[in-house]
Amino acid sequence: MFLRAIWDFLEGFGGGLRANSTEYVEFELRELENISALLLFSSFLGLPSPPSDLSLRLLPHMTREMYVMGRSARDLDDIAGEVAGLFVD
Amino acid sequence: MAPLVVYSVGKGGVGKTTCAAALAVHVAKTRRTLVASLDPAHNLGDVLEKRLNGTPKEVDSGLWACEVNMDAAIARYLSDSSDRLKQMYGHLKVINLEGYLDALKLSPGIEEYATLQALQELLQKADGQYDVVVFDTPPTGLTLRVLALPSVSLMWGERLMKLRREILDKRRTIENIQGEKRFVLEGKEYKLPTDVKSDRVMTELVGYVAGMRGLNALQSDSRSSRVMPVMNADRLSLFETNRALESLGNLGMAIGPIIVNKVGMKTSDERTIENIRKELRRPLRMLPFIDAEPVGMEAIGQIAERLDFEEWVPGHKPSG
Repeated sequence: MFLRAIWDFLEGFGGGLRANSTEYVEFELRELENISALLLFSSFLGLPSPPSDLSLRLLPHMTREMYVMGRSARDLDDIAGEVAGLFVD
Repeated sequence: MAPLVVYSVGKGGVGKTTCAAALAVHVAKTRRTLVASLDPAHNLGDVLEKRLNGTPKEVDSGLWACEVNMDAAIARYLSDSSDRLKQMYGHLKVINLEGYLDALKLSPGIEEYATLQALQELLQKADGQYDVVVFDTPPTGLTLRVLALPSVSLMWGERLMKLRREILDKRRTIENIQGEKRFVLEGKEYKLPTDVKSDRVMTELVGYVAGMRGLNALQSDSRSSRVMPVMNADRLSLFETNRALESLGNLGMAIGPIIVNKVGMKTSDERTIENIRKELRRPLRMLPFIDAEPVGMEAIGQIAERLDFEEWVPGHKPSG
């Protein structure tokens, strides 16, 4: 049981290290997905959008992008918090 | 073999239909030629004194002519789009775009896409059937936007592809370290694509870019496309032609000598032509003003003799 506890601790520790190492890449990925969703749905915001043939062809695959738009709208409230979170260690 | 393409471009009323017809009549003597009107306000049939429609009709030996029905082209473009939507959302059964088609056809950009689609379809049908296709184009503004579409679409497609590739790379990096992640939305699990082959968005983008690249290449290859600018000897025509040539040059299109049509209508023409020469700095070819409107195969044939129309056939080197 004691060994079990040590094992769990090491697993958690490893997970924490892995999460740390990918934190910046995940931040970059979130930013890229935000930009991508913005470009593809920019017609909703009055920005020039991709040619309509292209938008139409991509539309059925845009589930993730729609989720990202929703997430951005929610997270935009606290950009400072998100960036600050990167430097907490 | 893909046909050689000439675009007769200019302001409304300068004589681009007449020049397109004259060019076609000349070229038809040695090659199978199609002269096609993309102008929603067709004049080609009037100029040739033949009744034309969307199906090419042999109007002379080696010369076919047609007028693309732009209203029908727009309706077809919209119904293709609504069919595609229905296929995607077929399970929704409430989609009925027919009621909205009347409003949609006036949306910005629809006329440009429909014209481009009509142009592509015509060139596909012409492949192997004609050696040269001469297009009588809509008034300059619309023509410029239509001709710019392939390179604009290509730019969007390539940028989106680059962004998509970066996203996939980063997801793969994270997956390599943290293991596979699932995206959960409203209780349903999705596996987010991490490589180019399994990403359907990437597949669509690649297909789209390939199509646009083909059209763009055709336009910027001086051996397969050329513009024949037509203008009159007046200042407004000069301003517009100057701007149009700049845009066309930016698209990489080959531009032949400029036809200055209806010369001799005004006494100030000599001076205006000097200004045109100075401003545009391109070879000019003059066509005189003809009192009796040149209409009918014979009259067009006479105009075809006045210039060496070979100069506008793609691949031909103009003498300067």
